[in-house]
Amino acid sequence: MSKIIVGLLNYGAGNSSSVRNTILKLGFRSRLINKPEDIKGVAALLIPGVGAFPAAMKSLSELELIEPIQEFSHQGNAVIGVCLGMQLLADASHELAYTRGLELIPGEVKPIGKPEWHIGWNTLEVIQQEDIASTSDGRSFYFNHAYEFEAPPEYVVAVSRVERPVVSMVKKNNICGFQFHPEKSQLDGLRLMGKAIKELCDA
Amino acid sequence: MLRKRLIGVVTIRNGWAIQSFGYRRYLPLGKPECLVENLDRWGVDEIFIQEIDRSHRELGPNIELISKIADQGLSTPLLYAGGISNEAEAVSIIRAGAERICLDALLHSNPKEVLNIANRLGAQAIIASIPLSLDENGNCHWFNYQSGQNSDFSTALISLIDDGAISEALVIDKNNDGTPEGFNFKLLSVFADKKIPLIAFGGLSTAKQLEHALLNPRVSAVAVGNFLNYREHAVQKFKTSLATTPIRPPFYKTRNLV
Repeated sequence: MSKIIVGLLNYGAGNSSSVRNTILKLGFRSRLINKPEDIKGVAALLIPGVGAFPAAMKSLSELELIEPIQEFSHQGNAVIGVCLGMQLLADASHELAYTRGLELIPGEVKPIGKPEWHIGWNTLEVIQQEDIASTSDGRSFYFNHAYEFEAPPEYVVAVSRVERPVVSMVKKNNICGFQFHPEKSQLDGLRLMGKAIKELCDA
Repeated sequence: MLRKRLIGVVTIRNGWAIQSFGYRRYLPLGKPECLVENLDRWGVDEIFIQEIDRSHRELGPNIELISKIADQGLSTPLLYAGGISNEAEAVSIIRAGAERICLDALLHSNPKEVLNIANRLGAQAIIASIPLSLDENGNCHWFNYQSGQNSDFSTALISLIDDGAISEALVIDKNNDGTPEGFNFKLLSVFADKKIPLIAFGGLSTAKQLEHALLNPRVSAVAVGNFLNYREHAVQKFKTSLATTPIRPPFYKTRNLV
């Protein structure tokens, strides 16, 4: 088993159980992050996510985790967001009500528009040279979302096409987000998740 | 390209996976977790667990089972239906390891709560399970398992669909469930004036039928229960036969993660 400890945010609406099993399956150690003190000693923070943006930010706020996450990231540590977890990395979201995010990667979360949802397996189009995604171009991953992270082009690593390209992966230095669920994307997802944790922690 | 999905359905009653025939007659298949493990290994696109006696017996969702299945380390998205009556239960299902929930009884008993769940989890996490039948005059009826009665669609259900509180409708051919080649494709036209994506389920047993469903632009997925359990690697075999449809190609699990 790897010595890397991945801290898994346990904030109420995330599918933390599925993600935790994936981390363990990949050979990393895992620790549930329920309070700020739990972050000490972890090599990477993973923000899982199924749910609505305002409720998730409210939960992070109630657990007093917002500032510790920002501080952890500003120190150059690895932060990975999955699905809603990726959207939480943004400056703000327009889901249900305008809500500020973690402000770790510039951009705002807005409705996909047409169609209203992006559900199912879709291929990744890697549009920017990025080691983590290099072997995932053209592979299929599982998406399940209605809102999209509109980030500046320099942070968009990959898109997936619905009726138009939708941002599916973002990265800024030590911070990375997947709009899809690598933990539920079978072999390709497991490989990508393992690569992301390893490379971001080694960086 | 966004692919259409083949959903593997595991139906559970009294804690056991069963084969269902029109939701009237049942044969035991074994432990649910074994069937789920097979579907995960065979590369089905989503796994749908439906516990058909949880609402009726007021047992609530089976969090213990979902956790047990999640702890197997599934790498396939999990959908769950069974006994969900409020937002807290819906959240607990997601926390236990499912990605999406499927609602049936609540659509009849408390549609307002469906809206609360959508606000908490997002509509993309919610599927409406809609068992339907057509009578001899071609009239469509919505079946309520709790009361055993047929009815027309309620205005509350229509509102939930129109307002986007539900992301997909699972159209169940109630009378042809478990019947080989039974699915009545006329049921899909019931939603012709709605934009909600449809999942076809109930009596889909052959590649030809699945192809027919998947080539319908309104259909985002097909769900198959009994007929995936008759033969080893049924998922890959179905998918290989469906190469002309926009379904995700077959997947073969290997032990190598890197």
